[in-house]
Amino acid sequence: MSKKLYDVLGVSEDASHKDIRSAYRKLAKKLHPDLNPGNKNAEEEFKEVSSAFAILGDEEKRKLYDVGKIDEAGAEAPQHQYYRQYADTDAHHHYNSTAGFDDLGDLGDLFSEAFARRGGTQYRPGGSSMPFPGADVRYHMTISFLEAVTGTKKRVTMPDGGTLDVSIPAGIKDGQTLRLNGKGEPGSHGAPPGDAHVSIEVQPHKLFERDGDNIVIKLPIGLHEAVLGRKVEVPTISGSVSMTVPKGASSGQVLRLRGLGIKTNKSKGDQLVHLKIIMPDTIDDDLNTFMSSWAETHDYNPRNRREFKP
Amino acid sequence: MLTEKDVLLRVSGVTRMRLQTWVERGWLSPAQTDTGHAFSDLDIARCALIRQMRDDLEFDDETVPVLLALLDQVYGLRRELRAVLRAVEAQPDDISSQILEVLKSGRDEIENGD
Repeated sequence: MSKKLYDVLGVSEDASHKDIRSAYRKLAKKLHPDLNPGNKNAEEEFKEVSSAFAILGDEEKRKLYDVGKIDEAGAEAPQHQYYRQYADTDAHHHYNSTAGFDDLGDLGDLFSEAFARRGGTQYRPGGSSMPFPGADVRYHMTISFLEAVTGTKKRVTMPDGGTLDVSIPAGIKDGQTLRLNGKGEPGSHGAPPGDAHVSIEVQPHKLFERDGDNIVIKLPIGLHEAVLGRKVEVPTISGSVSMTVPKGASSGQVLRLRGLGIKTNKSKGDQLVHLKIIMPDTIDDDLNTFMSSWAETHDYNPRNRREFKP
Repeated sequence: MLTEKDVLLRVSGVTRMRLQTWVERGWLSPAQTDTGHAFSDLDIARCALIRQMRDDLEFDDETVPVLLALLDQVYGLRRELRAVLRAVEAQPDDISSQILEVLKSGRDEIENGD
């Protein structure tokens, strides 16, 4: 993209401030209307050069002009054209959706010819031998929580009966889209094929939840296990592991199992175990008796603690 | 094709984290290269649109993808419609006018409640 103002002053885009000033002075001397009484266009040409210098000669403005934030007139350029300028074209692009009329192929032969998935319009001005890139295709895939965590290979059946092997990376998140270059519709006359976009939906798991790269699980423990401590079996995404519930554990306490979370190229998460004390199904006489006498000499009130006070 | 850095320079109000989130969610699909993402002018315009939707128009995270999907369908439909109309226009006069007649009378019927 050539920057017009630099052409007006006859300097290169990486010219120094000094060079720009010197170029301007030379041109100004040459073009000044009063020094060129016979030149009708002198005023206009001089104005052009002065306006260019007003921007390029000012270090701040020159910076803005170079990144496109202001235009030749010094006005704030819109930072982009509206999206429709790019999207509303006959040219193929990768956000083109055929979802609005995919089903029209069901209405009959003529429709299925015209609207079935294909690589671009069939009528093109300029002749049908123009190479035309293939259309993108969109797929949606649902995988289980564990498949998302460990990664997996899945096979998609395409409308034309062919299959597409999709490698799903470990640690993929619900809603992420995989883009497979060149796996879309074939192009015509040697043009490249379009891409396949596979959006991934991850089903929730009965026990495990995801929090970033960590796995979260709620672990029920018995009253006696909380009081006395105990070694218990805990499910993880890589199988069952042994974990020690510490003596005196409380509900809400979180124990961290390092490295048992989601493994990606960059990091290894942990499994966070949230303890939840579950009372026995019935409070029998033994427990009742014991607790009553114990409470007489050991009453404590956790609501008296600072963290609970408003 | 422009890099992530270029996009952040050109579209004000978009941070690196937002951009990555939008790409993760599939709202933007830049091409993949060995050195990272490559953004076309189309991608950048779409990025600016998304920013406007979130910040200026205050559409939330659930709504934006629905709007984008609908927009994509509309542009896709417009493209097909233009293609069909060009195909009709390319026909010899008697055929194209026949087609237009059918279109018109169909519309009349609907409007007259037939």
